[in-house]
Amino acid sequence: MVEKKSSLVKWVSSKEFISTVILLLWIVVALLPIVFIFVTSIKTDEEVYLPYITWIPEKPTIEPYIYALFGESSFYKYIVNSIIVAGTTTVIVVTLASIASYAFSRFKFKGGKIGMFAVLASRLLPPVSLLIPWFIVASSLQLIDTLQALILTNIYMNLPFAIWLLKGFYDAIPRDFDDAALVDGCSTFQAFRKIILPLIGPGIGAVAVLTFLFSWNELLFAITLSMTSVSRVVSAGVYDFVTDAFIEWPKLCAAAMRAVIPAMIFVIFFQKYLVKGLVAGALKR
Amino acid sequence: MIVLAGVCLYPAFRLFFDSFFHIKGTSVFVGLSNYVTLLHDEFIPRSLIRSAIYTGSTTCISILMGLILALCLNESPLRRYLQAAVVLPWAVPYAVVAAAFKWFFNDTHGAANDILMRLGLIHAPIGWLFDEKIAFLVLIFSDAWMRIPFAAMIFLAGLQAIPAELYESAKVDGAGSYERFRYITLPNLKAPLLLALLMISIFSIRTVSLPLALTGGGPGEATTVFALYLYKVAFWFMNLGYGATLGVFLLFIVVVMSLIEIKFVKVESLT
Repeated sequence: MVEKKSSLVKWVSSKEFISTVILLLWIVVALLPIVFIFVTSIKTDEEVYLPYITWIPEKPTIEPYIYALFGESSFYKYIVNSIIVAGTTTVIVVTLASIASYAFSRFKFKGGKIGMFAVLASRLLPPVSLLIPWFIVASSLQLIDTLQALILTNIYMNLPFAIWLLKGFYDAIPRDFDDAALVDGCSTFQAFRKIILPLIGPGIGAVAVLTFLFSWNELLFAITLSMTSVSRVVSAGVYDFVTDAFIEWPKLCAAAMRAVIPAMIFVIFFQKYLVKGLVAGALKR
Repeated sequence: MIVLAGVCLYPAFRLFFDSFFHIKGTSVFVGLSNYVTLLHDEFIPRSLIRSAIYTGSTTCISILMGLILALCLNESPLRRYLQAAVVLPWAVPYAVVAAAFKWFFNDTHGAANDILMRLGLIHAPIGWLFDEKIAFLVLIFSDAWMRIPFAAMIFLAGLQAIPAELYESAKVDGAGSYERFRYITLPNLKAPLLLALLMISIFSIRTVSLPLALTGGGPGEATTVFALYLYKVAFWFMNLGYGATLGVFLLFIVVVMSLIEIKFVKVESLT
């Protein structure tokens, strides 16, 4: 009996147990606002404005979602726009970054260091500062209110970090691998594509997660460079709702869920690459 | 290489260039006059103080909480399942963060008042976003909420990069768990600490979207941080030239801040 109790005490005071409890507590507190958004998004207008709050809706409804997805002919287009912008950006950034960082890592060429410095320095430029010259240039190129403008912006903002992260991966792969492939008769490009590229899989995964999320969530440029529903993306769609003088909360909450669910699914599936990628790339010793 | 450097740095040059013009529909060269305006703009010191408090507190909170969560995740047997849940807030777009907290802290129908009153902690609902000080705290809170998972990810990656042999040999040498934490874990977390410090502070100081969507800078000007002031000057009052000048100033602040942080962490690492 005494032994049983002491093992229980030991178990409760173990590091594993305490950390799990802390984590669970944190998760409950941290996800409350999102849960509240979700609960509101399936309520009727009347129930939201009751003088007390119901955490389990009395009369659940999907009407807010029908409105958020099809209410105005343009709403489902926001989602299509977001997918186009975030998807295109991710593909282009991954492609360009995997080639550019390979070059930075493997070839010694004049100005290589300056190039890398320029890449990193451009990362320091605050987006809101970048917004002004970009707005002026985009106006003169007639790019305002187009998806291309948003795609270009997102590529510009994500490429430097992607190059920097992937360079760490390439640096970690011994040069012998390249040399062996070359001896076996591969061209430089074949060596890159067949031997080296498969080895940096986690790095590509991490870059893809980061780029997709940043582009999907980007708001500042999305509201400034787009004027009409032609180039409205979901994050900007939520902004339109939240800054209204009179907010219809269930509809806003449904619109918020519309923006958040794809991003969350993406993160749940790909977050492990992020940690792996950071371990191998950014934090190598 | 030159092309790449050009593409990367062109916007900065262009920003600098635009800062010498008065741009309101037409563009007129005005020399340094925008910089003179900047020196006399009494709004700037006030918004800078706000930016400093805002960036400082979110960075400290996120790093501390991120470290705690990363240590817990590293120890927990349920890590595989909990990790995704801990990261989740990071996936939430700014616009939704703003919407969620605006609704959560709504004075009459929000959950915050409801929970606190049910717990008996307060007796009357609080007008969270109508009080200048509380609105500012809500802003810091929601920003930290979004960045803590990011810090946790970086620290978790840092913890996993520490070789297990280090701990084993320390154990053999008779080091207790506190000593192992103090002399192995902490010193080895310097790289992730610097990365987290840099990225979170840089992201916070230039955040426009969150205060813009959450409070619009109000009540009054209570949550108008410097970056938001810049945005308003340029795109609400359409004064792009002066906005560019403020943009140069913000860039300058970010660079100085990053250099100080790099220096600070390096000095620390000697001890």
